[in-house]
This record gives sequence, structure tokens and C-alpha cells, in this order.
Amino acid sequence: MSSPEEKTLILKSSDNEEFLVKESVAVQCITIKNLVEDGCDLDAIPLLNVDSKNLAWIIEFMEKYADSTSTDAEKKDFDTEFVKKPFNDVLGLILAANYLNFPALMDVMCDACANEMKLWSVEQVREKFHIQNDYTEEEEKAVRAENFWAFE
Amino acid sequence: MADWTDLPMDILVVIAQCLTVIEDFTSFTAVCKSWQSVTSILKKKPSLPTRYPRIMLAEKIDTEDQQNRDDQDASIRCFLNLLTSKTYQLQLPEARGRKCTGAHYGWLWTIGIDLQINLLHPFSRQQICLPPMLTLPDQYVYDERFMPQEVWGVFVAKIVMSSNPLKDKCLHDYNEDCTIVAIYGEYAILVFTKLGDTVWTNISVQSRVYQDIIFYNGKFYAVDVHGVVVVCDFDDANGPKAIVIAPAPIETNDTYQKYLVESSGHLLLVARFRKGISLNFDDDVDDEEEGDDNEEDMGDVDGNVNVDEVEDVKDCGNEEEKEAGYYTTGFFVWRLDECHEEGSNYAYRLTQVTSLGDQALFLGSNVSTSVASSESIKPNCIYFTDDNYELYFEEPGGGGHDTGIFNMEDKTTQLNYAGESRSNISPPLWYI
Repeated sequence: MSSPEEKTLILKSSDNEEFLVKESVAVQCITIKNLVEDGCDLDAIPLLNVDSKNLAWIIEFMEKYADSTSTDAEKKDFDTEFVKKPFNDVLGLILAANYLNFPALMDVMCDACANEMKLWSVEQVREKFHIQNDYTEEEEKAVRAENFWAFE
Repeated sequence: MADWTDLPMDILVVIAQCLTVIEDFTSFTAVCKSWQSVTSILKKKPSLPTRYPRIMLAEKIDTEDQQNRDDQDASIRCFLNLLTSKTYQLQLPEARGRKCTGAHYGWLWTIGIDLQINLLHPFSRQQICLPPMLTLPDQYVYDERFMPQEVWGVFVAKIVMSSNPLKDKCLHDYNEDCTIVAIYGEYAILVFTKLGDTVWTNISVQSRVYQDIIFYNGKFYAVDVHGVVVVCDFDDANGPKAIVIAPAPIETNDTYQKYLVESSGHLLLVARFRKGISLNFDDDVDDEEEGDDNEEDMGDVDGNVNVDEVEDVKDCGNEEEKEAGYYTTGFFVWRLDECHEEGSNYAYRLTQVTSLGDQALFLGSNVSTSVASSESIKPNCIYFTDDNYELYFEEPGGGGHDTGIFNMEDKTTQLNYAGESRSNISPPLWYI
């Protein structure tokens, strides 16, 4: 008789690729944990907003963090290497972590994002995030005047 | 390909909380309106350190004209940007009428006539209460003619923290490991407290008149007026005490103000010498203080330094400075190195240093700091403000004139940023 810890789940990405993951590892994602607890009896859990590229990374991250033998220092080293991805991939993982409700991954990726944003000008931030500036000229002046700290 | 234009607000909030300096946070809120709304979700601005040093100018109040004092003006403090030389105003009523000093991790500490000692963050306007002045163990003997309300401006000289008082990332929780050491009292001795304590506790010392403290490599170090460096030991069974680790350097004397600062991984001892003469240009070369005699004996110091320095000050052309009672003329710097000599009584020895490399030191009433050079910060220089509180408390017009930059290479001093910002209580300081 298999105990719950040994149960394996099948996670299916948005592009229909299937990944085998131990349940004890996968439940770090609260979304998956809730599905399991609610008695989801599907063969595979479909993750409609996560493609295979991101899902593979997420599983890599989950397995490292579920490993009770890895020390805090080792996890930190792992994080340092893990976040060395193009900025668009960093944002992709943030969205996926949000969808899956995976706090540990969210923290690491948001930290990496904030790190990239250091020393960016406001214009550069807008460019990287494809954001339209919705301040009027007057409003922008007022914001800059109030927040003089940023603008050396 | 994901679309970032509509990042959910809860993601934006997490990213905003990962930002580590004020400048990044304010850039964040200037991107667009929905990013700016993060501030209202966080309910308050974060109490973060700052990336660039600035000068926090003195309060703009006319001490002669109390009745017409505009409440708004007294609540505004100006910060000067070193790169653009522009000043910016911040609403800071929490600092009004209080001595504000000791900038560290973006925090100031303040003390006022109410005898309360608070940490204050000018950006977030968050305050953290420390045990009040009267809980410091060694007080003056007060009576109806001599009240504590007369000495609050000078009773606490310096406060240094072991870390940011708030926990990283979780910026609403206090860091219970944060230890705070101060120099206080008639004899300028050492005392400490921790966040949440209700009193200050003395650190046992063998000498008096300490002038600076620094937290370096996990420990607190302090230097006294003679230049003797001590380390604070909190694990001794008899209570916290200061242990001498290096003797005073021979090239210094008690009239030089001492600082301790970490730079490029080393602990440095810095001595600042001032001239206390009034600037009467006809006979100032004759009016020499004992400090000057010592300068001339120094092998490193150019024999013509007195004349050059007077000319530098002359060029400033500011009437107020010409009436000033004292001004800085130079600095010496030593590095503390571990001492492995047999028979030595000390764990460390001091080696004189003639260059700071690409670093600049920021000294004054702030926590002594070393900053890498950049567009607005010159390398191998010492930026100083007027922290001679024993003199400026009584000085007509207040302190603040003795502010500028010392160049380690050519040993010239430029009085700078002096402007009109002076105060008897809270002259300009480096905000780092």
C-alpha cells in the first residue's frame, strides 16, 4: 500500500506536455495542494496558464526546495544560478508562480526582478515592462518633484 | 509571450517590497499610476536606506523671531543633492525643534526638549522610540536651577546601530538582534540598549571622552579622545565592557577629533584637526593654536600648509565664515592591522595611510561611512560636516560653517556646502 508521500502526480502544461512529480513536492504550489485536498481525481492536472518551458523550471525549483538534505547555503547558491535568466523569463516565472500560488518561487523571482530594476531609469522600466506612461505632463512633474530621491 | 502591462497588483506589491533603497522605490512609483497605487496598498512608504549621500540642512527657523515662526516652515527640512546641488524639501514635523543626527541605514535619531530619544526615518516618517534620556545611567545632578531640559542638546553625542532596526523584506517588524551603542553624558562614556529595552545600560570603560563608535565585522569599536581604540565585549560575565585593542598613534593629540570608519574592508582611525582662530588675515599665521605646532612636526604635512589653507578659506568670501570661531584644516588616517609582534600588549597596531583609493569618507555627526567614488563623489577625499557640538551649541549663529571636503592627495581643504545653513542644535549633516 503506497503512503501519500510516495504518490506521484501528472502535471500537464498548457502545451500538453506531461510531467511526473511527487505529490509531496508538488503541493508546495498551494493551487495544486488545494486541488489534491479537494479530491481531484483527474489523471493529469491541467495547468492552463503554464507552458512546458516554465513548468520544467518550476519543477526543478520545487524539487530543490523539497529536498530536506539541501542546506540554506545550498539553496541560496541554487537561487543565484536559477535566476540567471533573460528578464522576460524572470517575469514569466513570476506570473506562473502567482498562478500556481507558490510563495517560495515568487519571493526568489520578485527579488531577482527588483535586483534587475536597480539603477534603471523610470523610462527603462517602462520599456522593459511595455508600460505606457499614463501620467500627464503636469502629473509627472508633480510626481518627480515629490519623489526627488529617485532622480539624481 | 506574456503581457506585462497588466501585472496583477499583488505581484507589484511583492516586487515593490523587494526593493532595497529609497531611490528604487520612488522610481517604481513614478512608472505609471497603477504602480504608484502600490504605495496606498502598502499604507506607508518603506523605511529603506538611501543609495546616494545627501546633506540634510539645518532647520530654517529664525530663533530671534519665535512669534512669527511659520509652522509650515519649521516642519520642512531641506536635503541637498550633491550631484545637482539642488535642494528639496520634505515635510518632517517629527524633527521640528529637535536635534537630528546620526544618519545610518537611512535612519536619523532625534532628541528634543521632551527628553525622548527616537529613531526617525525621513522618507517614511516612521519613528521608533528608544529609552528616554533620563534612563541613561550617569546623569548630572539636577536641581531647580539646573534641569535636564538644559542639556538635551549635548547629552547624547552619538548613536550607532548594529543593523537596520527593521527586519529585511518584512519591514514592519523590528529586528530584535539590533543592538544600539551610544556615547553620552558629562564624561562621554559608552552605553547600549536593544530595541524593546526600556533603559540604557553602561558599558564598563577604563577611560573617558569617547568620540566615535562603529560597528565593524560583527562588533562595536570605539575611539577615545586620545586615539585609543577599544572593542566592546558583551559576553563578559561581569557585564559589557570595553577592551583596549590598539594604543593611540603617536602623531596625534587630544585636540584632534577622532573617528572610526570602515573602508575597503579595513577599520580606519581618522583624526581631524581644526584651527580655532578667528579669520583675521593680517596676523592669522602668528595666531597659532597648539594643533598647528604639531602639524609642522609631521613629516607628511607640507610646511606651507597654513598659508595655503588660509587662502582657500579666503576664496570662499562668505562673511559669516570670516567670523567663525573654528574650521577644519586637515586629517590624518590610520589603518588598524592585526598585530602579530611578540611581546606586544595589543591585538592591533595602527599604520598611517596616505590614500583612500577610490573611496571617500563621510564624517560628522552621521555614522562614519565610506562611499565609492562616482560622478558626484570625488575619490580619496574626506567629506566632513560641522559636528563640534560642544562649541556650536554656544556659537553665535550656530554650527554648520565647518563643512567641506579634504583632499588626501594634495592635503587641501575646501570649505563647501557651507551656505547659510546653520543651527545651534542641529546643523547640516550627511544623510547616508
